[in-house]
Amino acid sequence: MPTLQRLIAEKFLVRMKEGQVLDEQALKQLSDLFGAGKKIKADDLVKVFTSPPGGEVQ
Amino acid sequence: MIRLESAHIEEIRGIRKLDIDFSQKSFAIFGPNGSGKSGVIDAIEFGLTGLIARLTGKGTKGLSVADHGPHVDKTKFPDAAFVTLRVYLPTLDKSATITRTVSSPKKPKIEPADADIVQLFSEVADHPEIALSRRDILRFILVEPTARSQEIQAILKLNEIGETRGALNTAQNRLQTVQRTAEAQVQTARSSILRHLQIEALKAAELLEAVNTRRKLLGLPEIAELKPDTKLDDGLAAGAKQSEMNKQTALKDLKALVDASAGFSELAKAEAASIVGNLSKLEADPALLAALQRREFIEKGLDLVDGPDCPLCDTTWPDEQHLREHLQAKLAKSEEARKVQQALLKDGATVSAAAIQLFGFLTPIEQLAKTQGAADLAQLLTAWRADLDAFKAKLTTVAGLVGVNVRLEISWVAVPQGFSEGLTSLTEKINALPDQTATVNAQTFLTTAQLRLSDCRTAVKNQKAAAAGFAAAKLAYDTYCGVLEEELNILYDEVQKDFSTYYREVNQDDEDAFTAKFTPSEGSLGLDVNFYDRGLFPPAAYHSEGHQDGMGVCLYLALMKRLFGDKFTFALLDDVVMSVDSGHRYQFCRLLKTQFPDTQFVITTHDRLWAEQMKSAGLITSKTSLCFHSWTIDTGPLVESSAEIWGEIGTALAKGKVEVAAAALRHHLEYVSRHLADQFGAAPRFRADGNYELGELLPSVLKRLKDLYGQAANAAQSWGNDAAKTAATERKAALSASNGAANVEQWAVNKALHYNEWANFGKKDFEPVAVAFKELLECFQCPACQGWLYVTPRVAPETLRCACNALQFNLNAKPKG
Repeated sequence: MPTLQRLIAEKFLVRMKEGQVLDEQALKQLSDLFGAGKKIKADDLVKVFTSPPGGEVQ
Repeated sequence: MIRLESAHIEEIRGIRKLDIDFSQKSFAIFGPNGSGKSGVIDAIEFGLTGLIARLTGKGTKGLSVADHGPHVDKTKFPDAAFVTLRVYLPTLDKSATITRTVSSPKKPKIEPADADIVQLFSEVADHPEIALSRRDILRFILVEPTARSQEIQAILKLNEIGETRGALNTAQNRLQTVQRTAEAQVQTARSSILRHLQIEALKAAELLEAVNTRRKLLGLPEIAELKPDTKLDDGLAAGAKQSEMNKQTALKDLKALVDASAGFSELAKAEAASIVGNLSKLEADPALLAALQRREFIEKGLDLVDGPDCPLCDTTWPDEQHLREHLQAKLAKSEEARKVQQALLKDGATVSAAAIQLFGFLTPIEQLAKTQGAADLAQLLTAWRADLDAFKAKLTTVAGLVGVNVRLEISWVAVPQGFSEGLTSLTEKINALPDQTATVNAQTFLTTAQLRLSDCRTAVKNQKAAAAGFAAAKLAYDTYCGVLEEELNILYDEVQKDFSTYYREVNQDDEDAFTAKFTPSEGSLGLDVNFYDRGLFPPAAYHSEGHQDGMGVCLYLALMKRLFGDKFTFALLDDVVMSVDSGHRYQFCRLLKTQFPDTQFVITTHDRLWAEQMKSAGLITSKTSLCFHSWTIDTGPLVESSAEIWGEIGTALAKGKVEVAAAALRHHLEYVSRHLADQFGAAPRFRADGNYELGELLPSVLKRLKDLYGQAANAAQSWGNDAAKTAATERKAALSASNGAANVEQWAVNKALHYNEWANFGKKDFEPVAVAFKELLECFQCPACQGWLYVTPRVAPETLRCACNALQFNLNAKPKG
């Protein structure tokens, strides 16, 4: 059923895409995190935000 | 969501075995306190969610579904305690059954186990808020704004959103710390190369001028443009690149450290003092310190939660959700502690950045000391750096800061003994070295420049990555907060409108201009309500308890509508409007019927009048209501039913439990008297509160039926209908005979015969009483359908009849003339 958290997550992801700060790879990781239905952890978010462009290994 | 078709309950709470047919309709269960009504609500809630709300939350420490969910005689046999619910799933247009046992509450048996059905049951299980008790509604109304915000956020599952926001904030803070560290490292690396090149700013032209002067001297081509991969020592022979120090730079590095050491005591002094001040504040306020320590502890615990077992104390909760809510509620209580925590960690990060700057001075000298044979100084600097590193690590937590409080108070740099002497000695040693030739000087200048440029490039690259990470995390946090605020404002606005509308509908006679105002702010939700156009006030300021109850239910309904939309098809209301007066209850029924026509409400009440009002208002019918007349530990709720009551009384008497049989008979008579008084239009002495006693109700019913039979006999005679006259006369005579045996008419004059004394009777004394009343009540029933007789129409009745029409007496006499 549609929930507020889902609604917020969807809007959030759209705006993050519009913000053009994250590349497609990071956006997908973020989308996966928010769509997994599990508790989102800070460690996972840090990985997404610090992943190099295109997901290349530094 | 769902609609409930039927429930089979065994050994749950106070229920032994009970079947209820809900027929997907709104349903009322009424009966005296302690008759087992709430046990039904508990059982349905358990069947749908695996939880029993009254065994969790505040004030329920030590209670659990596993231990207290089964009937008290079955606590050691949780397999015997189970609920089977047959439900209709409107969105799937399917029916299914779900069976849940106390022994395995998380693994219900679902039939058919179609994926879509299982998924839907899983979603329903995630919504324990379908059950509302009076205890719950007070949470919305009579609480502080912060607590209200928590309660409403919990019901709307906003706590999950809060967790996500918290995770985004934590990620942002961590990446900000990473960025600050990276910035400090850039600054250090930049100072190092500027010192070496002896230039003011790290600009390409100035850098190339300094480098090309040395390259020219060495006969190397000048570098025209500084590119990201440009090597300043490009072209130097491999041997010339050996790591020999540049004497001039070594002396500059030593002087820089000496100069810097004069200001060591001033490094991040204000921030260190601020940390000490905040720690003193904590020391002076043990409660604040405890809140803060708990905060860190709980934050850590929340992060480790993975199931219903608390990672902090091993307590097992009904489920992970309850545990999270519990920990979050504790966190929310320590707002002041949070502010102190943030200030401490921010100052800690600044001191940490200053330590990194210090490393920038120490590192080249440590290397120099090693290569120049100053072993003592090298060792001293290595130990000092390690000490500063360990100190720096403690600046990231409050507990760590508490541990270095004394050091921060004195001088956190903690210059080791022998440092100045070692530094002087090394300076003298370097000064004493012969000057390097111009060629060696140029060569070492270029190799050192390349080394430091490389360090600088790496630091800048890391800083850019850190800045990008922090920017992304900040954008994510700000965006999430922005969306959250927008959606919450929309939500609160809608809930506020619906809440006001519902409340006005219930109280339209005296508060048709009622309005409410939510004032959301971070972490709290203020609620003010209009009081007779005199302004907005907190709900408890002027409104009565009954009005506050009404507000609670209206707010709950508004929240449910927002939470589920058109999928709000089921709710359990456990004794929630008891303080609402009878006049407003009709309006409440109308509200449920008109605003929630597709929602099945299962309502319990101990107030029989309220149950009758629900019937009168058309919210429920006789078929969609159930009355428990009493409860015993052996039988569970005793359902008020003429077909079963005599069996129950017989069973109780067989066990010698006269008091149980007496209570059952009395409750049954109370029910029947009230019902028949209504059906016949009997005229007991009027009571404004509607609380008629059996002693005044049953005699009035008897008199009314006698009159009706008399009226029927007279009418039959007027029409010349002898058969009807005989039938009416015979029933009247039977009624008189039974009445005589039951002694009802003697209640008022002979106390020894009063029903209050039955419980003190012996078995042999009570048995004839039960038989007499059974015979008496049969006079009110149709022998064919067992249904109770009634008159129709209710005003100026023309017929006394039963539902099957086997008994039908005309009450209208033939007009004269």
